[in-house]
Amino acid sequence: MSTTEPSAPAVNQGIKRRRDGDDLPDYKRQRPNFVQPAFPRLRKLFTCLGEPSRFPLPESILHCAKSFTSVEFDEEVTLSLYSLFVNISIEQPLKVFSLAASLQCVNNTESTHGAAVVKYMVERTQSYINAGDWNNVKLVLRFLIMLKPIISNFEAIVGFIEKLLERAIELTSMCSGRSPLAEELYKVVLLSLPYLVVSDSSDETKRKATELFEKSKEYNHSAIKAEELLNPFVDGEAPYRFSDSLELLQIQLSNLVEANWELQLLYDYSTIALASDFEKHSIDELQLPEKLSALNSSKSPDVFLKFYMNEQVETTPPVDRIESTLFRDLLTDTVINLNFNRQEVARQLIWFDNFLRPGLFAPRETSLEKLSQAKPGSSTWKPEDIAVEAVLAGLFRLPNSLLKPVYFHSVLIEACILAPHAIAPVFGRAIRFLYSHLEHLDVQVIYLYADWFSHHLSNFGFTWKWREWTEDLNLNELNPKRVFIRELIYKELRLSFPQRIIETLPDEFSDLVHEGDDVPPFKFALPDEPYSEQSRLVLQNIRDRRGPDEFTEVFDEIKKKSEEQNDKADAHDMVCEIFVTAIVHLGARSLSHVESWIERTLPVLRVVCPEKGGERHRRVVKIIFKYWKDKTGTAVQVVKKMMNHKVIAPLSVVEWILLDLEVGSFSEGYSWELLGFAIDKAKLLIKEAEAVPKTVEDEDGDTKLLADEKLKEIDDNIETLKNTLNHIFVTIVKELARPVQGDAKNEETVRWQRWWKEGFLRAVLRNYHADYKDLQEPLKNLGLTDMFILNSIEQTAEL
Amino acid sequence: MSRTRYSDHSATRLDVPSSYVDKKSGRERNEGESEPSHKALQDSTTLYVGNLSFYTTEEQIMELFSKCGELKRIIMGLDRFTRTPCGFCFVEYYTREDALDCMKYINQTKLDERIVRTDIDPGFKEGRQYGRGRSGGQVRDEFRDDYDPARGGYGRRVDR
Repeated sequence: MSTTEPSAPAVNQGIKRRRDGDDLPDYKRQRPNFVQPAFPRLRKLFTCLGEPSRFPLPESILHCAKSFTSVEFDEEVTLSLYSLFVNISIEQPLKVFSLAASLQCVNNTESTHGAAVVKYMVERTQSYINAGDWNNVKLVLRFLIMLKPIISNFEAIVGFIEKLLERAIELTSMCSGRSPLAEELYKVVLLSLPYLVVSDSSDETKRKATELFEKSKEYNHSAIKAEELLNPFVDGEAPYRFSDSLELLQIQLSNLVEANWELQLLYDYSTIALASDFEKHSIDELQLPEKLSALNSSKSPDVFLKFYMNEQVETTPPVDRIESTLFRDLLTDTVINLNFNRQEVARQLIWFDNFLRPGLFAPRETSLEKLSQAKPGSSTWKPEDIAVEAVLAGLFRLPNSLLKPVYFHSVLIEACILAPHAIAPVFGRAIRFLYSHLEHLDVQVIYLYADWFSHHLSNFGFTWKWREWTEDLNLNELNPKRVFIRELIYKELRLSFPQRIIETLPDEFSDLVHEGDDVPPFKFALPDEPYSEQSRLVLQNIRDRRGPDEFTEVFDEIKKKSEEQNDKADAHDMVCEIFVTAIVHLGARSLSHVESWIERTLPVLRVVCPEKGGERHRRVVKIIFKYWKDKTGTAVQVVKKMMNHKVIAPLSVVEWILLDLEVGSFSEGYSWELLGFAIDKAKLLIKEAEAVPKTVEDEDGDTKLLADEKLKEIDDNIETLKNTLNHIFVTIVKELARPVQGDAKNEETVRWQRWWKEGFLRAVLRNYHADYKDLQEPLKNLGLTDMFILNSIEQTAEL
Repeated sequence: MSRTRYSDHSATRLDVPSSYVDKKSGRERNEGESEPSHKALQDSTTLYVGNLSFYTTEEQIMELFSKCGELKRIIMGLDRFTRTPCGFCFVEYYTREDALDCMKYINQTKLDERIVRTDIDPGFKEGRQYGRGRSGGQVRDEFRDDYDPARGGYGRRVDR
């Protein structure tokens, strides 16, 4: 009821609700006979297909079909339902098999629906082809393949797959490097072949599939050279044979062909949809436009990541078996495409085995011990392992995950809430596996890992068996294991507070918790300090919101005193140090406080820290970190705010990390965080400058190009910013490539220093390859001879 | 492909505003529509965050919520009388996408060991940072009977 209607309240006036105790006889109010509208009811039925239920699967499938055919609905509802079917196949691909069976049953009684659904699906596929959304093409095509029994001209589908393959082959033969579009097409083809046989295992289909596979060998897929950069395991220490997904898929398929396409993936639906007589429908051919596009053309190659291996039993399919890719593909699509409802994703992960052939997996929640005593011949594949591995592979994908890492955290958190007994031990094993390989993990993966695990623990009371890591506290300070423990605790602290975290840690670990003051003192203003008087005046002036001119006097005093004291430092540096510390101190109560103090004092800050003053900018960062030495997380936030207000330039922050910090600081999370932030900021500045409008609207409303000198100003600004970004990359490579000096005494430290530097460099080269394309020359001019760097740069060309 | 009248997603979307109606902002929804009709909600990058502990700091909020993207600002909800945090805040992102991601990925997870609730908000206006209960805090804290140490102990029921 709309609240704006004036008559609305009047209707209820004077009428008491009966149960409020008036003397009418007590009777239940009769409800109008409520019929749930068709769409929500059917939607619920169809979206639950295949989930654990008290009805056997065949019954559910038939029930869905019957409910669908027994109601008559208008065109709008029909279209919504068809669209829902296609969306299920995209968002919840695990359910497509039961859904297809159900639609077959629908066709048995109501063949007009059968014809319309198939027609609609072909239309949708065509629109995805035209839009270049190849992953959706793959998924809807799979739906069509599963509906083979009701399609009369199925050759059209096979023919389309063949056309895709031909086009992919043509595309690779034309270009010398990597072609992301060809890879997408090729992936659609290879991943469709097994389903052709799954949907119809006749010899005829097998022969056709083999034929297509043989043809697919013409595709020139040279293993990617950038593998080293995309591998989460460094130093060639991958615990399994690591390879890119397409190459792996070729191997798996060739094994499958050798086994004569023996693939028992699905529930046997043949008995359900059985009918002696049903209509088949002919479909329109799918058209492949002359000019194809790929929606995500900048996607880097996929590699196959594994986290469960070398257990006493095989809990996941071996990598050379097609099942490993098919499961991963189904799960990844669910995780990525259903990201708008993580609870649903978690439910499907936990029930993952329910959607496939019974007996394909060991029962859920089977412990490893029990698995190792399993009867010979029965499956030892743990559905939880396979499902969690798919999420972890998404999280640790390099150079970046397809969705924000926090999404994968949240899916894992949901899964753990839904089925703690099944999932918690599975996580434990992944965590221990990653921990034991820390010394061979990519730096970015280490930080992703610490980020995830700390976030996860913050949702589960911070309980972890810390004692199993106690011994590692004696390792070298830069050993990744020791660094990981430190960073993990530090990240926990940032999400919580010291007293709480100390409670959860064994005594041996409590030294790693820096409590620090909530508001550290402004030490310059302490009575015994030489600048005590002036510092207090600065503080007072800031509080009184005085303008830059009014600070001149006190700044001069500080300078004079500094010269008198014969400080080696520049007199102006002292002014900078006192003023910036004062602001940080005033803003210590919260991030909003520091933000507003920065805003208020901006004019003075610009005087103290002029725009073109790299050295001074670096000093500001140093001062902030000096003040917040126990809470570097807060220091990072303050530096970010200073950068956002353009008090300090991104380049200066990068220089501070590379030039002013000790070499060992590359293991610090804040270096990693700020380096990424600074580069992103420099990129953003370019984007902002490019977005400045080049036209103005005059009084008559006509758009006019800006005056020439204005245009030049804009272009010059863009040019300068681009040069700065380039300069940032050159600086990073130059400084990180600088050999680490050391002697025999601290050999191990030097080794790890080098390790962290290399890791940083590899990550920067990998993650920002698109931004330094025209940087090859300046880098060459640096005269770099380090093979590692030269190789890495060459490899990024493939990303 | 024309859009159908019904939401044809195969599951509920978590990135839609709740049915909560803030009368002051004039936010309301038409029956059966999946998208909010209110313009402010469609473009908003601000989220209301509820069920926080009184002791949760801005830094903690920043740490969790910036996992979905950089935050433009955080506005702590304060007790009208004491000007101390009273268990809610507003977070503003730079982009709409980040705000929606927050609804999908952070809503109903824990911060400071409490399950936080986020909701798309039409945008912060001066005055909304204060609790609207008679006690100065949030109204919900006046109607609870349980003991919640992170939210000032027992509910502060105010005599009417």
